[in-house]
Amino acid sequence: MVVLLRKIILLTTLLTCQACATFSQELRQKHTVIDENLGLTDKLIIDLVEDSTGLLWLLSENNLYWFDGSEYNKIPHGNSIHQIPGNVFSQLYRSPEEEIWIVYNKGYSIYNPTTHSFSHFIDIIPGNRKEVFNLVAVKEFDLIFRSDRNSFSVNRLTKKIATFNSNTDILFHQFSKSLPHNYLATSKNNGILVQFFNNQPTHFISLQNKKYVQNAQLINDSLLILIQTSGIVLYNLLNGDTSNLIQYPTNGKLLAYNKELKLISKNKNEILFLLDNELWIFHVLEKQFTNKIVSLNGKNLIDNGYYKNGYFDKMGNLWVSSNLNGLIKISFKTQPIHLIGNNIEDADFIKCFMVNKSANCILAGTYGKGLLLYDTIGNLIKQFPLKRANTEAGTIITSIGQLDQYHYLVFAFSQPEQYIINIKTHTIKPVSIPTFKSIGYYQEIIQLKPGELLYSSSNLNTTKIKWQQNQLNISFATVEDRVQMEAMGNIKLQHQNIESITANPYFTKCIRQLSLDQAGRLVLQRRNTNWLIGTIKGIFEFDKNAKLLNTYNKDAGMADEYIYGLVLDNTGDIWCSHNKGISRISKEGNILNLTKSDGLQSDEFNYGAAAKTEDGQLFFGGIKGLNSFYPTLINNQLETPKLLVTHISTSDNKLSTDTAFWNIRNIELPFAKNSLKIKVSAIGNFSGDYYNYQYRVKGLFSEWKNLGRNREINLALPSGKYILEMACSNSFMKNAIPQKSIFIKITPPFYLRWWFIVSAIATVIGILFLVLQAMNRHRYQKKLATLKMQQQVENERRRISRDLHDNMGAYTTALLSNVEKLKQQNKASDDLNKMESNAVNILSSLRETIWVLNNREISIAEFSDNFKNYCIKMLQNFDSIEFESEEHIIDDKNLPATEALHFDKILKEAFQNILKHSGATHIIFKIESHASLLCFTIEDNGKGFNMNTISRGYGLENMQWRAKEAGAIINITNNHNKTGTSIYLKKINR
Amino acid sequence: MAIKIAIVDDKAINRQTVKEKLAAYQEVKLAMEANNGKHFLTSLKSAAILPDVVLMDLEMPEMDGIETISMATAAYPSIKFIVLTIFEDNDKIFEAIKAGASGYLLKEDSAVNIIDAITNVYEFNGIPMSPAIARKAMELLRMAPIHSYREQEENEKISEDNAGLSDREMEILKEMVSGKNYKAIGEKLFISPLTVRKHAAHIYEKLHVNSRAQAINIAYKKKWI
Repeated sequence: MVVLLRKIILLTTLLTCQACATFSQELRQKHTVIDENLGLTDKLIIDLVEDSTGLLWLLSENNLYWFDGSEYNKIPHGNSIHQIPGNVFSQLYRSPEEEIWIVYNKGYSIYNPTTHSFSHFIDIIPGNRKEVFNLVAVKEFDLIFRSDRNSFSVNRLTKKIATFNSNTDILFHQFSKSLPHNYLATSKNNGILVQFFNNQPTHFISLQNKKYVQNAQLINDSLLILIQTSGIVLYNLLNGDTSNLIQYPTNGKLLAYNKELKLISKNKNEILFLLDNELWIFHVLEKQFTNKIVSLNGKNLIDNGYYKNGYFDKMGNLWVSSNLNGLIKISFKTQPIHLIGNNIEDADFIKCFMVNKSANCILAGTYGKGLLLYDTIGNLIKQFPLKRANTEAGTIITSIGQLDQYHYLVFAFSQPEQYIINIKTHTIKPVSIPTFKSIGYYQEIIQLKPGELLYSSSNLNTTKIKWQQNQLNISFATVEDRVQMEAMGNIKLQHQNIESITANPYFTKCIRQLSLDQAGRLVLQRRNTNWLIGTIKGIFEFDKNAKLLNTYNKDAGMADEYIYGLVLDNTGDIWCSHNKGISRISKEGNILNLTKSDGLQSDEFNYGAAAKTEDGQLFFGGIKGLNSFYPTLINNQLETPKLLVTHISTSDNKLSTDTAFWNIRNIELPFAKNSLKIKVSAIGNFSGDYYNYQYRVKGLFSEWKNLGRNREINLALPSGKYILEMACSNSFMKNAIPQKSIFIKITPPFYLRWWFIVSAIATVIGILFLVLQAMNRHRYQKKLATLKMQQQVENERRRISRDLHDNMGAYTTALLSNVEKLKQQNKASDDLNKMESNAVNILSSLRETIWVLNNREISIAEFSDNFKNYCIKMLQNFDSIEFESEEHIIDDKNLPATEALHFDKILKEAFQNILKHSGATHIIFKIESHASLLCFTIEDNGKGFNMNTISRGYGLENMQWRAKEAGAIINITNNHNKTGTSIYLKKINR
Repeated sequence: MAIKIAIVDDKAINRQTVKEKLAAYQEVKLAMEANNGKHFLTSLKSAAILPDVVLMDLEMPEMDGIETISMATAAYPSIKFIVLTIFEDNDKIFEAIKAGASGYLLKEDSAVNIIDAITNVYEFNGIPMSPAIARKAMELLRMAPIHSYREQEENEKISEDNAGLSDREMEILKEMVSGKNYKAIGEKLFISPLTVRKHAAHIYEKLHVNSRAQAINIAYKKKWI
């Protein structure tokens, strides 16, 4: 009885222990092993820290890296500000001044996040080269470093070593970035002395009983963890309470070669322990190890080796480094996506599946591993390889159809026989369907309802399979069958078969509007009265009149267009699987892309593998298993990761700058070097390669351009000013808010610069002005020359006139006078008379010549007066002749010189004739001048003349010619009422 | 008593011609010769006996005829001037008359005519005007206000239209413009030729007035008087 009781107690204890042991939960988290190809060439990372920009800094023993969200960039070795001295590195520390300290032997380098550059303090630590110093504590302004023998403090602001002393005691704590480090715990008198740098009191912990304590670690103001080989003890500084030993949940002691036990604070109450090759979360309040972090399939993330260090970034992701497995990133933020299968390709390549929740089973047909039977949680119940005899190749299950609640029809590719499986009994039996020759890979069962299936056979006749009384009945599909199929609202087929299977021209009409050159699989899904057609180029939505309503493809923001499965959830949103994961298209057209990083089996999915159960859960099958999730639980909130510009180069040359690329706000480039390459990355929950990037250039185009997952922007801008705006998110957002802006100015080539243009215009104007001025001056000078010449001519004329007047006039007058004298002194003779006459003529011609030279116009009154003067003078020698004149000058206009001369000569000639030949005693000279008439008349009362006997001697011909020249007519008539003649001289052409 | 005359001409030949023409006549006697205005005025200043009538050429260097006449008439109001010209430049002649000349002669005129003219000027203060000169006088005096040194003749009204001329003077000028001589004018207007002469003299005086004051000023300034 006692034995039984003891057994019972033992069993209970064991069970309890077991329960206790298994009380701790597994935290199944998505993890990623960082690939060497991303730039991280060192396997063992000894320290990690994030800077204020969000970059993750990683330290290996000899190298320093920084992670920009997508790539790991190694800092080259050297002493310049963009290099790090090659050394044996030991630690990374982010100071309260936001600088990153990189500690190595004999010195340290400090990184400035603003300028993305270093300042080096090499060989600053005195002492021997081999002495290894570690950062152990942080005082108010100083960093405290200790080696075995010495310690020194560095002022964080001056970066200079403040004190350097040899150690008088042994250090008894280790430094943790995430846990308090403003104290020193030293070994003293068989105990631990804990001294704070602030006003907190000093504590002494006696260790007499606890010989196995290796180290101490302060986890908050009051609690100190004493680390032993097989577990930890919590010591309360305030009241001295000591907990019992809390054993490590791993198998006993820690490995000997892993000297330091790294503790990383996860949050106020949780601390992550890197226990050899396991990650355990310790809960401070519960005083126990509560969770182990494992991979999605429940296994340890690393099998061998040990964890070296870890770091929680500000997103909450955990980075852990290991000695044999490199760097691992563990995501704590994923979507609640469940995986059925083991996430192993080949084994879990899902081709088709059927979910039966009531029977608690999922049937999955694979590519090459036959049929798998799971329960709805994901546990594998049974596997049916269905290998054909004498073949190595595994069976490809192309399609599964439901016959009744427990029976399913299973089609195997290119096998003569098909199978019927009973999911209740987990049994399978082959069945042969006579009309089938062999099953094509893409040919699928179309389920009308349980027990009624349609299938398009190789001769393109649609076959109907009916399950009646546990028997398969084969017939041909009728029109009603097709109608019913359409009514189901979900059809999958090759697009060439669309006509034959659906027998509805509607679909052909729709398809024709799409340019699908490849033979592709189509997935047809009805949504209300519209049909969605999933193709290799995206999803197209048609209304009932075959009018294209919506297109969902890459341009619309889908991560991929090669649609495998298409399903509507209970709210009417579209869910589809493709080669880059799964996308949700909301009714408004917003697209959410989910990928492997969100927890999917992989990015690649497969045909025929999409389903929705009645309760709304969605299933999608891919190459590594089956994913299931409730759409309502999928986090809709699009994450906004931090966008970083990681690289800027122009015309293939890196932009030389003092600031880090991500801090650059302005770029100015000359026109000749206007090609710009900008690389971006994003720091978020996921790797930078996961996010969708987009940009727009204000000043060039106003819409966002989708880069997709491409992280490079290439621009070649014409001269001008622009703003480059960038954004990133899970998917393309048409109305995204820019996360980063850079002002870009391309200075135009000199010939377009404002100053050049202005000066060019000014020069042109100047030249024009000068030319005009020169032209004007030339013209003016020409005019001046002409005037001058005219003036000279005038002067000449006047000179000639004067000369004639002075000289010829004088002498001719003298001559006349001489002749007169002669006449007086001697007898009047003909010769003398002739001489006199000649002299007189000379004078009168001279007078005329001078008049013509002067070329003056003469008024009619003046003309008249001159003529009267002449007459009077002539009549001085003819006392008996009376002269009078009558003038009616109303319009006293000017006669031109030549005209006046002609008139003058005519009239004088006429007058002379009268004097010589008429014997008149009375001469009247008349002028009549008004606007339309100019007429001269000379009347005498002489004897008149005989018209017939007018001889040349009277100079009539001459007079007539002159009249004509002057534009006048001359008329000589005898008077009517009295004797004498009248001579009319009338100007015409007025 | 012979009329004392002076001849002012820059050309010797001209002076010679005139001299010769006049030499035969006892009515006139050559008292002075000058070859330009300045010379003439200087001679006048130092002359014992002043000439009565001066025959003046217009175009002369240093001081031309018009200026000389203007200066001389201001300084020596008793001297009469006759313009001597080869060709009738009515504008110039009229200017000379305004400056103080009492008529003009053509150099080619016969000696008789010259003597006649000189006598006319000496006795009646003016040579009968040629139609051109008469017209110009008419136009000028129509506009000018009255500044007559002489008293108006009796029975002569000054019409408002002919501000500077009496009606009679206007009539006479008109007849002169038409070419009538004094005798013919007298016959037409039923007045004696002598009256006509007197009126003509008045008209000349009115013409002289125009720049007399100015001339005196200048003459004083230049110390010609």
